[in-house]
Amino acid sequence: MASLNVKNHLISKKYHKEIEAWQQRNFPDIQLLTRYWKKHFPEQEEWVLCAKTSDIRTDIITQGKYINKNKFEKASEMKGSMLYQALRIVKAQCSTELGSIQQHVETVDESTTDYAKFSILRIMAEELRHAYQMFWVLSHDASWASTGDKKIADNLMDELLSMNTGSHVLDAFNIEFTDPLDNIVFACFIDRVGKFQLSMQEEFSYKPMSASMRPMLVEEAFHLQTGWEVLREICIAAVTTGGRSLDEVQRSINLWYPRALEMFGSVEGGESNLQFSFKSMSNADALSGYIKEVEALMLTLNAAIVSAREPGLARKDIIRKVKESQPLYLPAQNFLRMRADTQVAGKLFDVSGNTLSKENYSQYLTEVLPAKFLNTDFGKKYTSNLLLAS
Amino acid sequence: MEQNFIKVSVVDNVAILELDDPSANTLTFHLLEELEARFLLLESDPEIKGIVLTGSGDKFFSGGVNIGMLLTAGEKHNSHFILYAAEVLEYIESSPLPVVAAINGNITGGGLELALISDYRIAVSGTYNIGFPEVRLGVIPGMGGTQRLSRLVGAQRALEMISQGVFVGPDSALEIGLVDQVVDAENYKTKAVALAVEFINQHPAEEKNDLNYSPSWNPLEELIEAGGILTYHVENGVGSIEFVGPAPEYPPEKILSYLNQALLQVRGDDAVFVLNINIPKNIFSASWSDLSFTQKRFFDAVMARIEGYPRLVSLSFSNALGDLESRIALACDYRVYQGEAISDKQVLSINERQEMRFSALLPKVEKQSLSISDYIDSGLFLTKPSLSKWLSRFVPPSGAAQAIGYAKLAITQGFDKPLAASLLLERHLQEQLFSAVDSQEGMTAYLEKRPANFKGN
Repeated sequence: MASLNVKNHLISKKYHKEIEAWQQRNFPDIQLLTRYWKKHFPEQEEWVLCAKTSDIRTDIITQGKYINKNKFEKASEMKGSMLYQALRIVKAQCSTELGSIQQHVETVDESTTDYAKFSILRIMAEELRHAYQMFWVLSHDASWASTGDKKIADNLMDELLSMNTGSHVLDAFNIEFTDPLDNIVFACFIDRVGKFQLSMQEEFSYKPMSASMRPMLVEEAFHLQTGWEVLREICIAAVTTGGRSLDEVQRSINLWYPRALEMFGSVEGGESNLQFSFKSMSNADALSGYIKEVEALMLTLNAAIVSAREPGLARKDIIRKVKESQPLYLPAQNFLRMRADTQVAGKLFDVSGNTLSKENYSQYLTEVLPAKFLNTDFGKKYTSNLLLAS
Repeated sequence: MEQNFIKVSVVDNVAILELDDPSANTLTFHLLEELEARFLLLESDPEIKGIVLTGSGDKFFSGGVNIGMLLTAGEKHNSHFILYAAEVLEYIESSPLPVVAAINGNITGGGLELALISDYRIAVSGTYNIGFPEVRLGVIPGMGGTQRLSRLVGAQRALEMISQGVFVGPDSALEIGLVDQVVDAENYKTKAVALAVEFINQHPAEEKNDLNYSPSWNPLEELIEAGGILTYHVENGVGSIEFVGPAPEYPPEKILSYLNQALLQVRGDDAVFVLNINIPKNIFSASWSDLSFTQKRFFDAVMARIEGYPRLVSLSFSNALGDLESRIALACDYRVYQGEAISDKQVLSINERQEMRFSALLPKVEKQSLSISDYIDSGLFLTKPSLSKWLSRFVPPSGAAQAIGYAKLAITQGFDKPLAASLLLERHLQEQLFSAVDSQEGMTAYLEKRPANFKGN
């Protein structure tokens, strides 16, 4: 972190206390994490509730409507739809951070190993810091009030602190975790979207937001790494010593992968984010990059499964067997989508992308999705909305 | 301004204004603020004979009011925004310059309302949406769309378009009379300019030719910081705009622009429950008859902003008011004389009383010139030794500020309208109040026989 020239910041007493109170309500296990931090993460700097900023690649806006101008130091320098869009991005970012903690907490105690549990606790703590970071973005700069509403930042922070699973901005953060597999698969698929968003937001034309991204990205890397490492262990165990089955893992992937795709927004959209230099890629480009990364990781995961099933297989045979047997797969991009382009949103497709009839759809979902998910309020509402929309 | 939301070019004495706020050229407070200022400037430019409105890029004329702003900015801000947007549209509609809307792509909601106030609408051929999707968002067009569309295409078609939120394409829009021409996308701006020129030749703008006014000040350069001759602050729910001194060297529209800026700031501030404008000394060196047509138009627009503010507005003064200051006084709900002593020699100078919009407020006396004491006797002026104490009764928790503001709107906005329309306005305002927090508190407190603890909303 030293090479990033990181600076720590605290927010106003009022909101610092509000976040601590939120943590007490939603994430009391943080004390457990801090007590055993050195045991599990001896090389890692201890966790502190603060905002961190770092040097940025350039002070100049490199794309869009304000290309070659200096990045904006004050929110009041952003006007018109740019200002509100910036607020919405900060809100969505913060909501995802708080939402994921509220999700993880449901099942973190059911983790299969001590390391998995403390890794998830660390992920949660870092998500809390990321939420704190967004509060810093909103609260350190009084010029957000230039919208004409003096309390706009305060209102937004109050709204964020009152959100619960079910009221967050993005669907992926409104799904209750019902299984410890959710913690892991979520970290693999949803946190990777987070990495994309944070990377793209390094180009943010509002400098305080841009300067927030690198420290967050460094921490996000741990979330991704943990997710895939633990998922790999679960999958290998599934074909060797037992434990969770590959079918259970596949059902979890079928649930979370579509949510991850939805987080990129419409493939037609994202133009204004480029124009305002809030992100460095269009939605379509970011989605395409994400899919490529996940496909490559799935290949690695399948290779590990095949190798575990038949130790000693040559590399070329592993690749061949992965292609033949596909132990795990990514569902089709049009499967289980409420947010997508009109040809896809609310339409009934199976995991291979084929159309299904209304009559068969509910039954079909019981065969490919986690049963516990289908019994949650979100699961019931989501699937009935799909049937209504189709 | 550091950022512009409107690109301006001039062809054949016609100014082309391109709305430019990616990606959908949506209407925000900042864009409308610039649009209003640009009209003020262009109307006072003798070289400009007409205006073309269009969208930047090839996908959108305008996607209407920025929904992200409405979602983010909060209820109070939004009601102020809609009020402001309606005022700006009315200002443009009454422009002496012909305005042609050149629809170059999707045009929905508030974007279409902007086109509806234009004198002509041309649409480029192609596949895109024209319509009002508001009901799909749980609202209705709120800047004149329901009224202007029905007057253009007939009530039946307007009902279908608005109540179903259906879109039409350019050809259908032409068929029903929503647009006047459909043109090829190529050189559509040139065609719009030609149409404006044709209109100019048919209808010379007589008022504009009478202007005799050359702008000495650019409102766009001073939009961001309105200060110097007035201060604005809020204390205990009372907003105060105070003119700190005369500004004889300033043109009237510059003084008005400062007042305008302060008013817009006040209206967006939900901590303000009552507003006082203090004019200790006269601020204008001109009188109404000295003003050009454009200056009068802007003056009226600012006065309408005071009248339409859903809070009570008082004006306090200590000396005889000049002609223009008197007009500001009459746009306010109360006029409070703060002078040391009442002298019959202090004359309120309203040269053309019969022209005043609130002529009913004026005392029914036959005297040619009226003294301050005449006005006090008539009830038009109040004398309040402690202004702040008097104003504080309009501030929660003792007063239900929204109800007070709506009572004002019901009276001032309904006063000169047909009774049926005024009753509809009153009913609508009452419906809104019934769903407000304060009305629930007021009624509960009444039943519980305790003082109400109003919050102001």
